[in-house]
Amino acid sequence: MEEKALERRNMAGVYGGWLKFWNRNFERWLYTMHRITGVGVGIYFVIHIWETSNAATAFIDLRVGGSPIVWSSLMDLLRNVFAHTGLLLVALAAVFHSLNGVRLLLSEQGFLVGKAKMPTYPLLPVSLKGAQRSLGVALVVASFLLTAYAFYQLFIVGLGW
Amino acid sequence: MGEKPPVEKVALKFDPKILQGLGAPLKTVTFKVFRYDPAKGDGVRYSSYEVPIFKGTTVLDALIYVKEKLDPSLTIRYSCRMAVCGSCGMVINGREMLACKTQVEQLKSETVVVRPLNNMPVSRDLVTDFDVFFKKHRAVLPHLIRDDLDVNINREFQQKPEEVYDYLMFANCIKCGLCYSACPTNATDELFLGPQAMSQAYRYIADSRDDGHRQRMEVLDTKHALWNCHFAGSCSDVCPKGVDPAFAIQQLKGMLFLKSSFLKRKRPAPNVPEAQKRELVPER
Amino acid sequence: MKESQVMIIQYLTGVGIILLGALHFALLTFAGGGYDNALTFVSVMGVYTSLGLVFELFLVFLTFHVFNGFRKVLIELHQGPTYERTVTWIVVLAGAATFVWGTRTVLIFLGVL
Repeated sequence: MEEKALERRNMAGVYGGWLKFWNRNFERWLYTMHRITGVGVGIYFVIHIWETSNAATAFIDLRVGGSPIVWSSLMDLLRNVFAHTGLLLVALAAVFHSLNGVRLLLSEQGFLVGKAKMPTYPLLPVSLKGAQRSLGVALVVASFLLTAYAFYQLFIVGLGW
Repeated sequence: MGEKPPVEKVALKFDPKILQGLGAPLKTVTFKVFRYDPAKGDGVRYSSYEVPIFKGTTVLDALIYVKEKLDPSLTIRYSCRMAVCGSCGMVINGREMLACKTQVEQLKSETVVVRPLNNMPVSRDLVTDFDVFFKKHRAVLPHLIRDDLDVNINREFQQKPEEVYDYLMFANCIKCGLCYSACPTNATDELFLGPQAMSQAYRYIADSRDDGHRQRMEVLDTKHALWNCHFAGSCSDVCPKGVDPAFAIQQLKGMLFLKSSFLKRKRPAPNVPEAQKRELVPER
Repeated sequence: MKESQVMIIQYLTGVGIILLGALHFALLTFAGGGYDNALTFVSVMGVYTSLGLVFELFLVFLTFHVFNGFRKVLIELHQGPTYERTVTWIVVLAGAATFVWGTRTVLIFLGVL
């Protein structure tokens, strides 16, 4: 009698589940950023390996009597604001993903998440008040500070600003 | 008999503000409610209702008002109206809440959008199908497992109060499904066990009387189980009973790696001695 | 392989990446004489001849961690036995290809290729 086949699937999906972090807890934002930075740095890694290996043929050229101008001309091509901004974003993503990864390594093994206790009103969860939340705030701040150093290297040293 | 203490004379002044919202409504709030009827095949629409809100009016009260006075076709699920049965879970203004526990005033909004729980098939309007949810709960064997249950049918097992607190928090689960709806992994992974099932697995593994951790870990240490939780913590954030499923799941992961001594050292609690045996069930 | 065994390697390679990644970053910045100097032909050649094997180890850690990460995200997106098997194979092959291409770089700089 029940029309089970017509029931609406109703999954929150990638937008409603992975990306929509607002109106929720701080750790949900960290989860979304960890996923985005992970995929982002992962894609950069593949491109970087491909690009560097192709550029390395300059060395083969050198050994058969070519010149290192191929390498330096590639470096000159990449010495611009857009490429360095991209690298800065990669640096921010990598630093955030690493530091949050350390936080996850500890909290996903049951550390820094508080202790089970007798439930009393207002029935708040212990894990969201544990040390892992303070660590989360600290690591976001640390990510920006470390990226500031990368900015110095990429733009002030690298581009001569 | 001692002296009577002096009576303090306090001047009581009547403040009319305490009567606000009792006799007359505080305000009128617009409810935009998700409507879906599979038998009609119309698809999803949102119906708007103007509901008078008194002091203490809950979202459930408002929906019952809509059903009684405005639109009897609205389909909702509720029972105890006091946050113990777990029937009235919904997504209210973007967050999973129990309708009976949420006062409309605390939402601080002139418009309230009510949707059914995520990640479960919608049977009709705000009612979702919990079949898969309960199936995943049963998959973690949510009952005491030990070899000598039959022999000890008339006996209690020894358990200190501190050992009760190790799992008591998790035993408060009312299977309302709010955590399942809030979880980002459940949002895309249909085979994922979900925070409720895994927190109940922990409730039994952490119970000193239980000896079934090997069987439960076989279910938990697979694809689409323990390791697809990434500690987003929204399950614990929305749980109305403070069960904290995120805590339980991280402890379970710890038991497989950095805290593995817990399972290695675990022995099921012994029974209470012969002298305290009670004749309740005939010996098998 | 049990999922927990895969995850232990994911955690350990993650830690390894932090350490070796910090080294890579250091060699590109303060330990390399500043960003513009560190990427000259001479500097890069010098780093690879002395630390080529360290870079190779970094590549091993990264390949596992990145492609296992991609695998987890793809399998959470859609489920089904054929889909999951296909995704695992694609991820393994793509990881192997990336590893080979990266090893090629190290071998070129070390003068072997």
